[in-house]
Amino acid sequence: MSDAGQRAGLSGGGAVPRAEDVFGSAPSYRRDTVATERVDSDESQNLRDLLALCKQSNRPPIILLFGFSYSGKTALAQRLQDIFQSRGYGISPAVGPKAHAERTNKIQPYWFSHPRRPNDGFILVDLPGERFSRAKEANFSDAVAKETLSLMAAADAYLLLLEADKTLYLDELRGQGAIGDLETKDYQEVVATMVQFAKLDWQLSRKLGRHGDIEAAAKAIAEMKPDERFRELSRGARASRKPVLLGLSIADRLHGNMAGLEEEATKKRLEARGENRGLSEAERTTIRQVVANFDRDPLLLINLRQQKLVAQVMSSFRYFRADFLTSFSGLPANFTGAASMTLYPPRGVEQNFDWLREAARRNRGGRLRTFARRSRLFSPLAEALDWLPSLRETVWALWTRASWDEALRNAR
Amino acid sequence: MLAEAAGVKSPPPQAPAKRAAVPSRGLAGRVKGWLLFTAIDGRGEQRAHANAPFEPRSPRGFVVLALVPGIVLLAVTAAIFWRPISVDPDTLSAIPIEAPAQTPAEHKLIQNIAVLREGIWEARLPPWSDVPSKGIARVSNPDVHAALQSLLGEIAAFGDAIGDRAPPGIHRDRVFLGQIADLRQQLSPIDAKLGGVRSITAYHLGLLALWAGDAADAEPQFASAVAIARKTEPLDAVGRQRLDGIEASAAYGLGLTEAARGLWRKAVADFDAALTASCRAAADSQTNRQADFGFSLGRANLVALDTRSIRNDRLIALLQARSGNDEAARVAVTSPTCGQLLSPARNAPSGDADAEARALFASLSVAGDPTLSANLQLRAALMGERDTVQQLSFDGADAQLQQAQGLARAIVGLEQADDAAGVDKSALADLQKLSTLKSKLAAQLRNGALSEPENDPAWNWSDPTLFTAWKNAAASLIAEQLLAKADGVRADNPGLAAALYGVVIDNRAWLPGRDVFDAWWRLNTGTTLSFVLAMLAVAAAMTGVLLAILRRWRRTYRTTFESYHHSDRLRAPEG
Repeated sequence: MSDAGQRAGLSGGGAVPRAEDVFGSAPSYRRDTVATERVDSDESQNLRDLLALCKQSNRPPIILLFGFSYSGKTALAQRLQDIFQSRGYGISPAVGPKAHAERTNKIQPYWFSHPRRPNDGFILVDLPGERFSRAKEANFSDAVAKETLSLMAAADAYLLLLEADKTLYLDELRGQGAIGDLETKDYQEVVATMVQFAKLDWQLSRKLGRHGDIEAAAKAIAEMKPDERFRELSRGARASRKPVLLGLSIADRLHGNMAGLEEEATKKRLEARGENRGLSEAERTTIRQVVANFDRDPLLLINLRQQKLVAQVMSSFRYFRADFLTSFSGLPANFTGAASMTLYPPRGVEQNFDWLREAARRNRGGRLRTFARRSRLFSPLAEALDWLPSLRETVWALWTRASWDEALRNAR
Repeated sequence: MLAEAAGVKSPPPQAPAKRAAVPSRGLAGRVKGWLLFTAIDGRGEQRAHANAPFEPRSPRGFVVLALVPGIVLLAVTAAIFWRPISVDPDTLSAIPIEAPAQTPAEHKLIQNIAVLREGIWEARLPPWSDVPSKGIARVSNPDVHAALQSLLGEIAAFGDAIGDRAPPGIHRDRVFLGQIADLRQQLSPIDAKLGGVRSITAYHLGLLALWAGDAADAEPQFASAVAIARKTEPLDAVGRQRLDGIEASAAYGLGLTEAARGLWRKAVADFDAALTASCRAAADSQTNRQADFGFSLGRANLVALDTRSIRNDRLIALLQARSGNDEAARVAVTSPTCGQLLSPARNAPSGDADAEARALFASLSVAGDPTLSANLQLRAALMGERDTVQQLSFDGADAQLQQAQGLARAIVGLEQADDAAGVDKSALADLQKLSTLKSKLAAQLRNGALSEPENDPAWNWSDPTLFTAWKNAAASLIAEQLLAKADGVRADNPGLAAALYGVVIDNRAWLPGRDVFDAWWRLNTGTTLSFVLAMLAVAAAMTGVLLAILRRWRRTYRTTFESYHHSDRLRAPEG
């Protein structure tokens, strides 16, 4: 493993990284978030419960957390537990360090509920990216695939987690030697899977609309031809109403490493221009400014670096936003005491999550709307209402920004 | 290379960012960009390009943008409809507007009064069956008693059949006259057998003559019945009451015959005598001590006189007497006895013509009260009572009352409405005197609940502030008519239209401010105020809707591009 990789906390060659490498500043009591041992679980029972629940008309929104290993899913879940506990929520089961979070791909829903505000509850379900990959490899025909599809169909909102530094600076990281070629390719695969995930959601919602129930839709998807399954949206089709939060996770790791990455990028620009010199003071100042404000324009950044992904998300989902997420920034790495999480800023995790569940709740609608969607008599009306454009759709904001912001326009 | 072997694409050579090389957009694109940036983004340009936090953020842009469509609408409307009148206004000698039109209910009422004026009797003679024939016949020949009884029954039935009415001008056909002659033939021998002068036969002979239209023949019969009733000494209270009842009925009949012969003054005196007698009869009653309370004397009181009929006929006689310039009748109107007798009943039936007419013209004295006279004249003019207006005219009061009188006369057409006395610019100020009464009357008639203004204890016809009340109420009506007239002639005769607008503006002292402003607006812009207000409302609605849309849009924009991570980091205590 190279020095840079060591510094950056990235594993160099496919070996399982140590937790402190991944979560450089995580407190020790949160350190063992990445587990290696597998435990048997009642995950099929969990899944059945979820599917039964999602058929109810008045239920907390189900938020599907989708991300590959090391993207910080479990750490985020624990951070959420801290945040929402401090806001008076109860979480069941606890995302606790006491029962060490297992390195597992079991489906585990976490129920967040508030004792006095029953409408504010939500359910967070962890869907490991490997599970989706496995389902894809199996051509969406085996039991795992069916479970995955059912879970996607049951969800009201998606939280897609991408590692911030790899997503934005993959080439620079490789150039730095922080990650190897294989890992680079792996990450490209991860992003491609995300793209496919977005495409599949559209097909899924189409099949759901046709078949009405989740099992039949999953079956229909499984029976589709592979090329058909990830086909682009056809013309005139409306994107999904599920809100999506593109989370650029482990943002603190990116921040710590960003000056180097930017230097790398600047050097590359100089090389491309044919200049072979060190960085000038002005360029260093610019880099410092960039690093100081690294997180101020996440959607534009991810749009510049991962155009295909954003384009797919844009065409598949009506409501989305991107932001950096930091689970444990602010705590010293060797912290061992009881952490008072209210002291440490949640770095937007809380607000992002509030946005997501609020959007999920709004798009799912109340009892009347869920009933109308399900009844044979009113479902055309509900569909027509769902089809109508809304000023909340992200495309309005993008369109507005593209009208004056050349950076966004050229990126598109 | 390992990278290529592993399938990793090497990064493409990055060209330096060349913002200047971006193909420039068209003007429309740039304007759209600027507009959306100002309205939706709301940050400063530098801050937006650096995607700095959204606070502070100016709401100016989107408010201005929301205002744009409304302003454009108003501008376009103004460009189309803004047509001020620039010609010189004409000089008006008379204003071509009409006095307020009659409402249908009013028209009906006036028709009823006109019928009265033409002299058709609305009188209902008291049915003799209610007069105590039994007591009168006690002294009579028992041989004729049964015959008289049955004959009176026949006459009563005949009276019922013709509704107890004897309109003098009616065409009496041969069958009708033959029936009456037959009854008279049967009654005459009975009268002879009874010895000639009996009140019961005299009354009925007079009644039959009256029905036949023979007033000269009826008069002595009624006169003898009255005389008998007056000179007979009653034995007891019941007898006195009976005699009073007979006197009242007979005096009424006598008055009717005199009225039919045009002896108005005598008729009024007889009607008064009938009313007095019936009041006496009512006072005689042990069960009813209210005197003149509304004429509900029934069989129990032995006298059943509908004094309403008497009052009505008295009123007609009075009006006719006035028409005939009978000064004595004029005096009779003002006699306190009559004034008391003819005051409207508390429970008088509403909505009928006689109550209206009675309350209007006969209840109060106008002598020496020019204010009352002027008010009554205006009211009569409103009802189309041209003769009444003429009769109520007075001389020598203050200028305001003279103007009111002139106005009333102009309305009914007694005088030409011209510069001197009619509805001209200065006299327009007096048109106001109409409308309170007019609207009140119309509303009450429409509701079928006519309550006379005189029924209101607080009402005073001699109240000088009545003019002011009328003035305010009538002003908008007049102004509207003027404006409508001006709008009508605007295209063909802008000078006249300008002059009419000028009339409204000149009379701003008493016309409603809204109409004055409207006139000014129409004169100077060519659009009506209501149209302008409607357009303003539409523009405001557009602005409101757009404001809501833009607000929502702004929030979506902010939600999309705001980084919660960034703003949290900036606000973090550890920096």
